Amino acid sequence: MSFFGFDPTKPDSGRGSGRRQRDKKAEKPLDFEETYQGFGEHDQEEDDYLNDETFGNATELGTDFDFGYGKGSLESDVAPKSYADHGRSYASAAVAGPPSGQTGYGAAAVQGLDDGLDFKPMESLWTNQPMSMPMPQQFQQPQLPQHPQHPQQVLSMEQLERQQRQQQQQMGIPAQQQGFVGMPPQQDMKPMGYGYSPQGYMPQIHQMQGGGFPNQPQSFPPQAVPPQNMGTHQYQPMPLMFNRQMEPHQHPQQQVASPPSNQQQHLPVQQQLPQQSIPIGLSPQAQELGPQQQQQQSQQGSNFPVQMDSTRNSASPRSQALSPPHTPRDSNSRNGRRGSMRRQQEPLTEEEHKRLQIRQAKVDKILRHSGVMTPRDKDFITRYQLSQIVTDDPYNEDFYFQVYKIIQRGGVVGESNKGLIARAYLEHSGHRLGGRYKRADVALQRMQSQVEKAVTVAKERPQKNKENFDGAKEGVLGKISSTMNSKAPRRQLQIPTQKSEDDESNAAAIDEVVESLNGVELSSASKARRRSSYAFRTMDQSAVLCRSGGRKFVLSLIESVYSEVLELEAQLRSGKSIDNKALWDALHVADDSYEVSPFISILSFDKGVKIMPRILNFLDKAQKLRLLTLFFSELSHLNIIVTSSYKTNPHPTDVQLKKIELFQSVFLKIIVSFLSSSAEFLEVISLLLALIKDNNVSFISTSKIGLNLITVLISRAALIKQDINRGTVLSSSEISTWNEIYDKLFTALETRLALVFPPEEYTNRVVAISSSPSLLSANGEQTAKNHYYDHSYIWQFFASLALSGKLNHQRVIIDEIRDEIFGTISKAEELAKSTTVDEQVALYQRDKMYQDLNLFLNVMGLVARDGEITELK
Amino acid sequence: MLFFSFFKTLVDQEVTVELKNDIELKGTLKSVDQFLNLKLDNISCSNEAKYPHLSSVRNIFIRGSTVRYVYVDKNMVDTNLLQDAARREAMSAKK
Amino acid sequence: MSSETPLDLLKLNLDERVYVKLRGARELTGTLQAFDSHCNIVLSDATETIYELVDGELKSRTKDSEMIFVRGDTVTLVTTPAE
Repeated sequence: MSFFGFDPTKPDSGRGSGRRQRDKKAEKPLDFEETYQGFGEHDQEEDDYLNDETFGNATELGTDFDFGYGKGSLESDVAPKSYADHGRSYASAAVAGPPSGQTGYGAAAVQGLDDGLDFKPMESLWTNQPMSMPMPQQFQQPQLPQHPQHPQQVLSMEQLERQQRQQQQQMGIPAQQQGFVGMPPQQDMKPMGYGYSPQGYMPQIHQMQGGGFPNQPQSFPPQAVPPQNMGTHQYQPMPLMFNRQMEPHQHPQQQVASPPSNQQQHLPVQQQLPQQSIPIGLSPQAQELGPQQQQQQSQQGSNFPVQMDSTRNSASPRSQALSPPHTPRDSNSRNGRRGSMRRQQEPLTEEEHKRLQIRQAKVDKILRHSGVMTPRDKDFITRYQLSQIVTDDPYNEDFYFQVYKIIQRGGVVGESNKGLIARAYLEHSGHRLGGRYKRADVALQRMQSQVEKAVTVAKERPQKNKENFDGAKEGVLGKISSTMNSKAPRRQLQIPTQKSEDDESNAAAIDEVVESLNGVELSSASKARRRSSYAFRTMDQSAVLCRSGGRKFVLSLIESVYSEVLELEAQLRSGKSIDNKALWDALHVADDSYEVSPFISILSFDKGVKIMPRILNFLDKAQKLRLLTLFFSELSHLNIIVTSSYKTNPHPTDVQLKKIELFQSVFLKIIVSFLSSSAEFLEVISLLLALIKDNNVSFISTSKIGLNLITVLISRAALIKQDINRGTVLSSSEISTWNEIYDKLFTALETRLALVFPPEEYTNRVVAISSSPSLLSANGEQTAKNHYYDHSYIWQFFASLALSGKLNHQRVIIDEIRDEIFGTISKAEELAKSTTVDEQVALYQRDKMYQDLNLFLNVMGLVARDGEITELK
Repeated sequence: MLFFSFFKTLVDQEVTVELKNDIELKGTLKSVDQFLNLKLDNISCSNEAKYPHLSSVRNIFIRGSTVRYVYVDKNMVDTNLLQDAARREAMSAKK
Repeated sequence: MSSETPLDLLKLNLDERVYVKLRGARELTGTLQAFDSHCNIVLSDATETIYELVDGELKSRTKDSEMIFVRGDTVTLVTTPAE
């Protein structure tokens, strides 16, 4: 068993292992006599009945030392009777922890002591409270003699003499004056520290400090003592050297404790202070408060550990009770000046004294740190702390909370800074629309409405060659029960055929497009690219990432993009002008150093996708166009395309479907809004050109996302073309360019149009996965919706494709997907008859199927209804 | 300050706190401080059979350092915003 | 990128799946939503695995949570999960 959890069997290892070692150490180098004397020959432990418990009996302790500080000398010198009491109680208090197995030096010991002590020990030496002085003395008295002479009971003459000599030399105090311990530390400490072999004095110092700071441990945390420091000091064996060093530190501390401002409060103390400290030779530093205070504070920090140490050691719960009797001795033992001062203040009965002590202790506790800092210091610290919290950007520290609250409150009000900051997230996270998935729907809806709008216009288009067309269709679709003869007069759609106002720049741009268009089949580079896109049609994401610098590189790109965006958003908020160059650079749009553009790889990660709308907020139109051109031209390298193609990924996982959903909602929205807000016809077709030039369009069309992207482009182009209300009408060269590009697109897709429809196995799987989570929460209708794969995007694609196509194109389309058309119709009819499904659900589903299909059929003036295809009226 | 900010948004929401001693407490988060000490109201102990001594306690102060996990409802967190807040925190720590 | 700190690695993996090892034979995988310099962490869609010795036999149990805050002082390492 060991006290405080030290291993008594361990060899001395310097400072780290506790008191026992400290004592040993103290002995060895400095007191050879004692050292030798102790070895096994002295039966010094006779009366040290707790020694075994304290140190364990695993080791032979050559020299004993008094743990309690209270035994040897006290008995002989002071009050034998009370001492015995005292010694025992002290020891037991100190040992209270260990027997029960408490090993935490700090925790157990300190706590125990604190509990017992209450405030008593407060009467610290160093607080200078005259009233409190007596208390500490008691403990210390016993201790003083002890340390120097470890064998407590066997105090040799030499030892006694030596001790006395030391004390006298250092303090000019009679050997007997144990009372000095109770004195304000400043006085005593100083001399000790500098004068002598610390051996004898170390303990004293400790005691004094301990007495003064019984509650010190409690105040530790606020003091911000560096942990290392604490550790070292606590376990410190006795660091003679150490102690010396400490002493100087104390001065400042004490000084600080009683700064000018507090002098009134500490009346008695303060009065003593000047007198005593000055003669002793306090360092000048200690007396000046201002500039050096910080330094002093840090010094204080290093002080505390020692104090803590001593608190444990010296403070005993009972000491209090003993104090009164000791008081007289105390004063006697003091050196002249102090003694007399005390005396004047101490003509009190024991009771009074006790009460005073208690009161004093309380006051003391309150005041203990009251002078540590001047108001100016406090002000400084406060300002410093505030400066950590309050920054230029009020959202910096509390960003999440502030913005979250704005968003929760339901949005952006006005153009305030708060509004700006929240807007990005509001739009981004789709709160207003009820979450991400609804937002996805919105993006899809926008695309759908674009297609529908185009189809509506087309429906009203005059079909001059309607008869021919019907005839052609008849062959393809079989019998069409059309009312061929009833040809309602249709409004003539004015298609401007002659553009007189071809502006020059436009023509030049068209030439450019045409030129690159001509190069589509020829460019060997693009062929190589296409090949590689075939070759890398793999689900292995890392394969794609490797070609643009590796996963970590791409992730770091994304994070630097985020940094730039956040920075720009902060600038926007603060009203600074915005320079997006850094952001643009971070996007690596123009970076050719990798096989796949890093920008494309950025889009392999969800977070790279999510940031896109916010990036676009900071780009000008040219940059957006450049970015989108890159996006379309490297589309088949896009991880998400590979993931979303049923060909390359026939068994998508839940996670993948979510990724697809996210990508689609973000990018469709970006592209739809870019196209519809600012893109010129030429720009639309240049994007389409980029897509068909560098990619395997057929492959892309097997991906839902890829197909949607194509749909968006061609339906937009069709819409622009149809829109006769546009200010600038399309030039003939624009139209012919468009026709050419359309031909290329169509050629790329021809014969593979049916492949756009994913196989049933795939759609079933997608349905199963995407409906499983919603089964839990969704109501009946929604669940039913999810039971069927939504083909609407496919019909939207064909509708758009047919819209821009000529008759022969439409024929080819119908021819190729005839099975799907009739398949859909028969499925819809089956649903209506089916009894297994809830009727309402079935009807809804059936209507939906017809609706989707008719979007396409309507383009050609047809409509499917009740299992039949008829001509649209 | 990031998580202080984070928990502030969860005030008045129901959370489940798992302590390092395996006790799980579910309750309404009433307040939080910079040490992530938490105050919970209307607590119930998820594993009450194991820790019956908490069964009569209605509200509780939890020292932050004793917390192992705090389980939060997903819809109470704006993940995009939170990620950006984490980025900002990291950025400002670097400056 | 020149001055890369350990926490930068965490930042790289924001919004990505991470593997977090904790004191007491516990581990978590989830999507990293937030972290700070104390290694406090928020994960979404997390799975916790707790390993226990039952009669000398290593058992593990798992626990899913949609959003979890992990106090940093229990975290021993963070990395990306092995695919």
